[in-house]
Amino acid sequence: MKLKYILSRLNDNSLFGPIVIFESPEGEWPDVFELLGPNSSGKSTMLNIIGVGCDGINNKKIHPSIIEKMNHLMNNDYYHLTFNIEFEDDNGTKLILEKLYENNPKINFYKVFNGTDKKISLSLEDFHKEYILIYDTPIDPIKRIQDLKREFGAKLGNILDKISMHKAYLRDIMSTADNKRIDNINIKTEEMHNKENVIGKLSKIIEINQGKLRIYECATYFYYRAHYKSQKEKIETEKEEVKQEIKSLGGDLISTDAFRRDARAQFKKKIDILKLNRNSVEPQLRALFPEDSYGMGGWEKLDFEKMESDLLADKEFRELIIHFISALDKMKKDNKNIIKESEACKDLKELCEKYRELDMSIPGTTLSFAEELRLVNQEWDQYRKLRANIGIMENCRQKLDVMKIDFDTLEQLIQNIDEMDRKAAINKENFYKIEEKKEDLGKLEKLLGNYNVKYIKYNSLILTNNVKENKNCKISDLEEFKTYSADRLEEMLMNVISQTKEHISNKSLILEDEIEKRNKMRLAMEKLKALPEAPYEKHIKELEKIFKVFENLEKILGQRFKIYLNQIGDYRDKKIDMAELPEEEKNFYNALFSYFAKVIGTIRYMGEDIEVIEMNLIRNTFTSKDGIVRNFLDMGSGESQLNYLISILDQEDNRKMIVLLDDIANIDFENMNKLKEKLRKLREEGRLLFGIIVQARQTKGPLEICKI
Amino acid sequence: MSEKEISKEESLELELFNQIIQDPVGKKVLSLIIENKNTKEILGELLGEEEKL
Repeated sequence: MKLKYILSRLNDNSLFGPIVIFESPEGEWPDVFELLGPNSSGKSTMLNIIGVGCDGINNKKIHPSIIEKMNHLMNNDYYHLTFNIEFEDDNGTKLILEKLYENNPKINFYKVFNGTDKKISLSLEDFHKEYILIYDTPIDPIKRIQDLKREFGAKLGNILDKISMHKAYLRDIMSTADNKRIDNINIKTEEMHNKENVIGKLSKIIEINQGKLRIYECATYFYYRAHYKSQKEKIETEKEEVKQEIKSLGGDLISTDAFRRDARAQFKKKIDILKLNRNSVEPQLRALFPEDSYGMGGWEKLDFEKMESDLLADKEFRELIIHFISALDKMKKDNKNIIKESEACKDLKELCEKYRELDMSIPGTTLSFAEELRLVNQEWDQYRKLRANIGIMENCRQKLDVMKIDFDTLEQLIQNIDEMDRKAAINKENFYKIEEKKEDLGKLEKLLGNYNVKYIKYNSLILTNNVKENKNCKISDLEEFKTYSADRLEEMLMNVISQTKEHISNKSLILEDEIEKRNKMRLAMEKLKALPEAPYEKHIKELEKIFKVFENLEKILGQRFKIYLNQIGDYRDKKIDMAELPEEEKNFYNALFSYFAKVIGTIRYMGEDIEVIEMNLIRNTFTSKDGIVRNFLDMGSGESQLNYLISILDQEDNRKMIVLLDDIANIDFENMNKLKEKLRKLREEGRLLFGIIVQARQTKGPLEICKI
Repeated sequence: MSEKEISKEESLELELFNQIIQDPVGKKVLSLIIENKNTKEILGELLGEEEKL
C-alpha cells in the first residue's frame, strides 16, 4: 500500500501561505498492519484521509462522529487536502484513490491491472460495487452494541432514500401519460358499461313483453275468432228457426201494415191525378158535348173525396170515361168528311183570293171570283171552327185514355189492399206472435251483425299482427286471468294486449334513444382511443398501484419502524415488558433482535465463543443458541469490543474490504490476537484489500508500524 | 436482467423485512430494493415488460 497526502491549514497571520499540518510518511506500507503512536501524532487523521478517499463521508454505516471528522477535513475554508492512495491486492491489481486539487473536492478512482500501466477510471458506483469501507472506533463497547440500532436506522434511511428515488422515477414516467385522456377513456368506458347494462335490461324487458304479447295475442285472437264464428253459426241457425216459425204462423216477411200504407199512398196519388185530369178535361168536354146532359151531369157529380175515404173506384166514373171515349170516337168518324170538305174549301178560297181582281165570271157559274170568295170565306169560317173542335177532341181523347189506365190502376190497388186486409184478417190471431218473432229476428240479426264485426275484427288482427297459431297458447293456461269471469275476460285480455303493446312501444322508444346515446359514446370513445398514446399509458394503472406500494413502504419504514426503533432506548430505560407491547411492535422487535444476533453471529463471553440467537436491546440481554439469556452488562468491555469488531468483519460480502479500526482499547492481548487473526484470515481469503488497527501508545516517539 | 448475487447482509435484511412487512407486493418490492435493483428492473419484475419501460 502506498499512501501520500498533504494536509495543510490556512493561517490568516502567516505571510508564507498555508501551514502543512500532516504529511504522509515516505515509502510503502504493509497491506494489513497495526499502527501505534502517541496522541496527536496524526494516526486518526491518516485513517480519516483514507476514509475520505473511500467515500466514507457518504457511508451511513459509519458512526456520525467519524463522518463529522472526515467532513471537517474536507472543509475548504479551513483545510487544504490532496492525497494519492494506492492499494494492491494479492493478484497485483491496484486501486488508486486520488484528490489532486486542494480546492476541488473531486476524488478520482482508478484500477490498474497487474502487468499494465493503464489506469482504468472507476465511477463512484463501480467503486462501491467492488469495495466496502469498514471504519469504526469502538470507544464504548456496550454502547457500540447499542449502535446496532443506529446502523439499522441507517439501513432504513438508505432504503427510504432508494424508495424516494424510485418514487421520483415513477412520478416522472407516470407524468408522461395523458391522464386526461386516460380519465376520459375510463369515464367513457364506465358510461358505456352502464349504458350497455341499461340497453341490455331494456332489451330483456322488451323481449319478455314481446314473448308475453305473442302468447296473449295468439291465445286471445284465435280463441275469440273461433268463438265468434261459432256464435255466428249458432245465431244463423236460430234465425232460420225463427223465420220458419214466422212462416208457420202465416206471417209474411213483408210487413202488412207497411204494404197497406204504401198501397193507400199510391191510391191517394192516383185519386189526385184522376181528379186533376177530370177538372182539366171538363171544359173541353163541355165545349165538345154541350148537349150531353147525361155525360156532363155525371162528370160534375164525381166524388173523389168519397172514393179516397171509402177506398173505392166509382163504377160510374169508368162508365163516363168510356161514354166520352165512344162519343169522341163517333165524332171523329163523323168529322172525317168535314176535313176533306174543308180542304176543298180551303183550295177554292185560295184560288178565289188569287184571282179576285179579275173582272170575269168563274167558268160554269155567274159569280165572279170576288163574289165567290166572299161566299167561300163564310163557308171557311164554319170549317175552321169545326177543325178547331177536332184538335180539342183529339186532346180529350188522349186524356181520357190516360184516365182510363189510371182508373184501372186504382181498381188494382183496391184489389191489392183488399187482399192484404183479407190476409191480415186471416193472420189476426197470430199477429202478435208474428210481431214478437219478427222482433226476435231483428235482435238476432243485430247480434249476428255484432258477431260478424267481431269475427272480422279478430281475423283482421291475426293477419295484420302476423300472429301464428300455437296450440300451446291457450287462454286457460294464462294464470293471471283465471280469476276473471268469462264476460270480462275478453275486455281484460284486449286491455292487457293493448297495454303490453304500449309498454313495448314506450320501452322501444327509450331503447332507441339509449342505443343512439350509446352509439354516440362509442364514437367519442373511438375518437379518444385514436388519440396518440403516451409511452406508459397502458401501464398507468399498474404504475399507480406500484407507486402506492412504494408510498406504503415509505410510511411503514419511515414512520412506524423508525418510531419502534427510536423507542428502544425509552423502553429499555423504562424497563417496559415487551410482552405487553402491541402485536405488530412486538413482532418487529423480535425480528429485529433476531436479525442483530445473526449479524453478530458469535459473542466472546467469559473466554468462550457463544453463538447468539437474539440481541435484545430493550432488555440489554443476549440469548445463546442453547436458550441461556445473559446480560450485556456482565460482558467484559474488551470482550464486547472484540465481539462488535468481529461481527462487523464477519459480514458476508463479496466486495473487497478496506478496514480502518481506530483507537482500539480495552482488548487484552489474547482478544487482540483474535482480531488480528481475523484480519489475516480475511486477507488470505482475498477479501481484505487493506486493514489497519490503530492503538494509542503512551510513550512519545515516531509512529510504529507492525505488520499483521 | 441478470440475477445479482446477494450478500449475507442483504440476505439477513431480506429475512428481517419478510418477517415485519405483511403486504406480499411490499415484500417483493422491498427485496428488489435491497437487491439494489434500479426502478426499471423493479418495474420489469413487477410488470414483466422491462424492455418496454
